[in-house]
Amino acid sequence: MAQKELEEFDEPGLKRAIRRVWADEVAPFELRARVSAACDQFSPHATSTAARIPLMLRLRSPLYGLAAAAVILIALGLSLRYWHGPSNKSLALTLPGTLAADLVARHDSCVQLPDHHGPGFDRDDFAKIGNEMEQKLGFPVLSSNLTGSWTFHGASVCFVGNIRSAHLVFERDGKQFLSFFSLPPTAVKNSSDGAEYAEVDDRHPLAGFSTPAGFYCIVGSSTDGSLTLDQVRSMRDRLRPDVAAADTSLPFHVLAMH
Amino acid sequence: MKLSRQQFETMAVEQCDLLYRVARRLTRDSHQASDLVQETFLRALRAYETFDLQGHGIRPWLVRIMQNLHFSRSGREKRQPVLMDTVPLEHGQRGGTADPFAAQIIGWEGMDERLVRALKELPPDYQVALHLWAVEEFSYKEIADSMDVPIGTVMSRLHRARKKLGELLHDYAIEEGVIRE
Repeated sequence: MAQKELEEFDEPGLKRAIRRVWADEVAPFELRARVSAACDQFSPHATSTAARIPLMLRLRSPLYGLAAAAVILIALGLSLRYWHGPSNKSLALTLPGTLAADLVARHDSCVQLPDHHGPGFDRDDFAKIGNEMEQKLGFPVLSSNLTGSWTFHGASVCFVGNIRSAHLVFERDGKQFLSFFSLPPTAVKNSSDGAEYAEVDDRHPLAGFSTPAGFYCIVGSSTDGSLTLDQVRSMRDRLRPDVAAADTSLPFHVLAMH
Repeated sequence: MKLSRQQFETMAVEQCDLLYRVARRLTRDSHQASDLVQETFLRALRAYETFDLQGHGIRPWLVRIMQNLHFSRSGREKRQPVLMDTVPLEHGQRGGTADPFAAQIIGWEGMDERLVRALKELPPDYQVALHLWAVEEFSYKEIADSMDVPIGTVMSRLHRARKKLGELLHDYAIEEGVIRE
């Protein structure tokens, strides 16, 4: 087709008008952060900034010394609380802002992927996955297998809103989907240790709990409505000790990052 | 021409705004658009090894990934072009002169608000074609590559999109005196 013939179709007035109404749209900052994180995740040498800096260099600053001392005190306090048993285990937790909607959106987006395995993470060893993600994110991760006919679709670092999270995806019979999210404790500021969360948001059952080191949430969905809040809540209660075990093994320098 | 991974990432990230704008046309929702852009980048990064910088650069390649992803996500097994898109335009229509409404609009100034509303009523395929043509300054060949259709279909879509806009804005254009009755 001759270029002249193509040019005949041009109409500068309409072009200018469309440009006026559409050209000012720019990607939101949060999206840019997500894209940068995606690039970081796929980089062949991807590791977290903290991991790239040797531990001794990080400890050279007096601030790190102070932080370490504070962490030791906090850890002692927490140990005392654990010995005496948490008194607020059944406290209800309210999620801030749009966190529930962000969790649901991330779940819906990732369960559609045929393969959710992120680069650099083991494909089937859940202990390894937990350790690798903990190293990358700096907080303990809920990384457990599910019994029954659940199929593991992979673990990856995903953004929930603008929060980097560990995300494991499972599927059963092509009808039911589950996400295990692990988020830093800052995701639910001012929550009490052991506080629990459970609700249905946009037809998705969600059940979570917080610890001093993180917030953990299971999000479910099903094409036929067969996955209930009770099922997800009992799953959360079964898996909760796995996170508690990871929590106690957390090195002090990792806690200091928060 | 094979790019280094760093070059590839830099070039891809520079297209973030473009992809977001196109995603808005496809999804009509800012949150879905953001998710679509993120998934497009993930796909693109996974497919980095297969990308070869050719004549038209990275932009049509990324938009094409986004289009495929969007249509596969929205449940269509395969994008089905509207039948009328494939019908060749008659010779006289190429310049738009056979259009009883749109061809007579003599100015688009001052119609922005109405234009936004009218644009929203167009099918996503038409919106994307118009957007790539007007805002991103894609050539017809680049639009065709991006949308995985022949150049003739691109022209059909642009022509019909413009005609539809003319119909939607017809009454208002008469009121404003920017159309010849």
